[in-house]
Amino acid sequence: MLSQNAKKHTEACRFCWMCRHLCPVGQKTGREINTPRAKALMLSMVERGVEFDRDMAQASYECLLCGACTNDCATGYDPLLYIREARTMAVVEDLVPEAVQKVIDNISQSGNQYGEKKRKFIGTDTGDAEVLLYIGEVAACRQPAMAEAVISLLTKAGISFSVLEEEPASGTFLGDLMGFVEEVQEQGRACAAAINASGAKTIVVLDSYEAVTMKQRYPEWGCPITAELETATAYIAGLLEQGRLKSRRIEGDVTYHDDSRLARDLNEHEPARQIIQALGLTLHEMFLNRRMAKCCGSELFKNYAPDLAALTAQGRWEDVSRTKADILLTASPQVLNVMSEKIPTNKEIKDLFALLDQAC
Amino acid sequence: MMPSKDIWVVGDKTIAYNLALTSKAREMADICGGNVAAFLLYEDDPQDCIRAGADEVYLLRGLCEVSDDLAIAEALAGIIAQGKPGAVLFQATVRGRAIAPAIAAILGTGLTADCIDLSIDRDGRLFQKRPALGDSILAEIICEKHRPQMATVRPGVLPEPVWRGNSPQMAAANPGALPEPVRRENCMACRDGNSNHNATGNLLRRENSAACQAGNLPASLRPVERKSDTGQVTTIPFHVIPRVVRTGFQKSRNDCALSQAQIILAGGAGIGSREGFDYLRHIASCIGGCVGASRGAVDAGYAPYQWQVGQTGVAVRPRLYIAAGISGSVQHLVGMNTSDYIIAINNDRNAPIFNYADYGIIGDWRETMDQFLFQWKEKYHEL
Amino acid sequence: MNSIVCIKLVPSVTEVPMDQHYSIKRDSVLQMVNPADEAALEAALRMRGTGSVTVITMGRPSAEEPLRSLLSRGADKAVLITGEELAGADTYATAKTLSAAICFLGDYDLILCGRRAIDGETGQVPPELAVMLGLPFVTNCTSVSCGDDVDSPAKGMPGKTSCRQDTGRTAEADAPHDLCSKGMGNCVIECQRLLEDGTEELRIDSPAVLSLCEYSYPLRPPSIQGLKRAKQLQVTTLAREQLGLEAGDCGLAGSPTRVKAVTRQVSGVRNVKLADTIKEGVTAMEESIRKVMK
Repeated sequence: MLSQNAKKHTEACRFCWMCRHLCPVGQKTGREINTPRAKALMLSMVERGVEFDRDMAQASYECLLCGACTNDCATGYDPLLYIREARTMAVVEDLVPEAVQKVIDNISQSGNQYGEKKRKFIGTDTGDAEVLLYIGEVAACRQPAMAEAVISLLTKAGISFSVLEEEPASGTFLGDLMGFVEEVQEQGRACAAAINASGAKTIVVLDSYEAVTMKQRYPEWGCPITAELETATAYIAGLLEQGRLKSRRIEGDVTYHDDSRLARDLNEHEPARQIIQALGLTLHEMFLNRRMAKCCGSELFKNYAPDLAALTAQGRWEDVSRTKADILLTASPQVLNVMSEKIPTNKEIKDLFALLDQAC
Repeated sequence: MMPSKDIWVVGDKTIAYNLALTSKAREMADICGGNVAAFLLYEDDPQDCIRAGADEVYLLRGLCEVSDDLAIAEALAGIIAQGKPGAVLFQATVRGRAIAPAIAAILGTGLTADCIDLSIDRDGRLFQKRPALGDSILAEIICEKHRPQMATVRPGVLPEPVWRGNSPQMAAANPGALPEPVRRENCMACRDGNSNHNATGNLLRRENSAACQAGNLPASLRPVERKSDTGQVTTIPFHVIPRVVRTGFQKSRNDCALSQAQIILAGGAGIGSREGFDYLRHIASCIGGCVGASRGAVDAGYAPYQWQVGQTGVAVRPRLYIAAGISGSVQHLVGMNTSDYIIAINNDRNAPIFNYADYGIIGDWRETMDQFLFQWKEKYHEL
Repeated sequence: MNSIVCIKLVPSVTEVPMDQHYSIKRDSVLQMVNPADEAALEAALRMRGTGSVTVITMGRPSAEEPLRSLLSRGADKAVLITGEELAGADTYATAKTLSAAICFLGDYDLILCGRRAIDGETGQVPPELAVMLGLPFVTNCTSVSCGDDVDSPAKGMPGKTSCRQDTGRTAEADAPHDLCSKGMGNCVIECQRLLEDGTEELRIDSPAVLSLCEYSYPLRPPSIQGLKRAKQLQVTTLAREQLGLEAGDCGLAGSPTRVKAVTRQVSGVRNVKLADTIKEGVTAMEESIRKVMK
């Protein structure tokens, strides 16, 4: 039941097996089924008549959708395509793992993956502001301090901005759980409609996962964001460059983690580094950085597979430990939350926006 | 009875191309020994058609404002069924490509779409060349047993018309010097257009070529009267009860029609924004050109679909095509690679577009355009 | 609104193998639904209201799977006309077969097609089909709408919602020619047709044939609900004999046109002269423009 396109991708492998060295999940578990190639083989079997079962469904959720394999595949094929479709298949066949189903239920009941009431934030302006800040459910529910730091920075720069009173779900997380089916796109359209109705000229999106969805998926879904859309990192770096924000210099040895979607889907690497430079910090790059960055896990993953997420976080901390940096900086609420686990002694993780806010 | 070798041309709105098509028909009719008749739906100059090679010109009045393609097809099918030409050629415009297949279906004959070249043998067999599969193949198509042979011809692919006698400009300077067209045999299309007033109008679902034998015009479409002017030019007025009614028209945002532009400045996904396309539009207006776009740019929402050049957009053949920030996918190339001169601007030396360009500038499109505009304004003071 | 949507499966690559009659060997390449046909299906789904949407294609038995995927996107019924004699059809024979199948199915208000297929690129089937069904038609539509546009209202689509139920007219008055358009209610369809120099707004009464431009209505993805439903549905298969067609009406035998020869071409490769600097390039560009403007 895969689409023809996805099927093509499952059968395109040249068996170079390089993807197993890149997969952040496979690296930590050491299990064959956690490699992109194994998932392709599995689905290829299904297309040849083997029944898609609960174990296969489970396997299709043991993936971060980080795109490291896609980025490096010698044949140029895209495992994410068929993994997303395998998840659709799991939902259709009622084979979704219990922990995943709980998250899906949370989203359908409360609009966010936690099933909680989101914290509310207030902009400098209520309506008609030039800029709209989309905070997203992860920051709102798990890292409100990051959202507050961004709000404080925008305020200091004298930006008139608003925050939606009730932020609709962007479709990002449901899309990661069940593929880009109509139900997910419906969510996306409702979110786009709310954002477009704000009339803002610039939309600043805090969570890069959601920025990718809005920037790249919404046009495909027929609901493009009509305003300019920028990530919070790019927007704040721009404010520094224009001189609307002025930062003190602070000393320190830091490293920066490029979160997978910002790095690979949006191809945005430099704004965060510009902020780090403006802060006068010494940046020690990890071996796998920018487009090659190794994913540390995602909030969604942590939500339904906390044990695996702890492993992937540990994997990235190992990379941090190989640098001279004491502090890991991140501009993603997801990374901040996921990497708060398994912090090695003498290391720290800090929110780039909060740091900048203190220095401005 | 010997099959007819006459070639008919159905004129479209794009007058220049009608003349090229008429001239092509003349060239072929000279090979197989047939006559050429031109049927004009719009107010063209019939004398130009004669100079381009038509033996007879028919002005079909009352059809150009009709939006119902089926009604026009029925009208033309009736005339064709009576005149029984060997071949009928159309412009492959949107309307031409709607009317021609309807006629083919009414007459039960074959039709070849969007030809880029035509040739004929002495028996009047029409060889129709058309590209397919994104222009990766060129197919030669014939219509063996059915008559008329029908084809729509891509606008702009045929060479300039060859004028018989004086060119229109010369004729205008010396109006008395019109050449007497050679008149070989009677190719009157609507010889008895006044008869058959009581035809039932049932043109539909008839079997192969039934209409040809029946030779009926539907009641709603019968010619009201036929007026013969100067020997070769005949007016046939029609009264149509259309089933498709036009309620409005919006001229496309582009100031000129892409398919007829002499200069096209096209942008790709590399332009990066709607604002970028506004800039291209400004430059295009300075140099008297039109703006085109690649599918990538249209998909990204930078430019409207009407601007799209390529397989799924408009095919163009301007004298100068400037491709800015276009990498050159096959589907774009097939829409513009017959342009006279192509200039490509791209910062990737390996972009395929450079293989299809006469001149290449490796660099950022905006930087190039900034410099260009600066230089242009300085020299010509044109804003 | 009951619609029948004609679908063509096209090769998803441009290098395609062909047999001795220059027909595409469709089994050896990946097939996808022609993009413009997807737009036609989406338009039909949006206008469905309380009616139904049937997708129909002529093709090999392997076409069943792509049709099934269209069921998962909301089509109510999928029909596959298949048989050896149907192969090698030109547009005329294709339209003939489709029209016979559409008559067989009956009960429709609109026939929707893509404006052209990306492999053949003729766009001739919709008008030919219309003539054979005795229906008026509009090609190259960028938007189509009718009153009961309730299937999925908030989609930010360009369609309008204006419908006049024209009860004053009898069905015969509009479709006198054909038995298979019997008994269908007249609804006023408003559509926009893309022409070379602009967009026309047109009005046509149903039943009618419309062909849609690619990208005019991006086809919705499968929904979980639709996928679950598609598992239960069967693709209806029709053979030539059921449609009352002679073998000579279909496929290669029923095609007035023949492909005599095919040449693969790599056309338009030129020898590019590269500018050394942008400045030099800009000057050369200016000269070229001047030459044309003269």
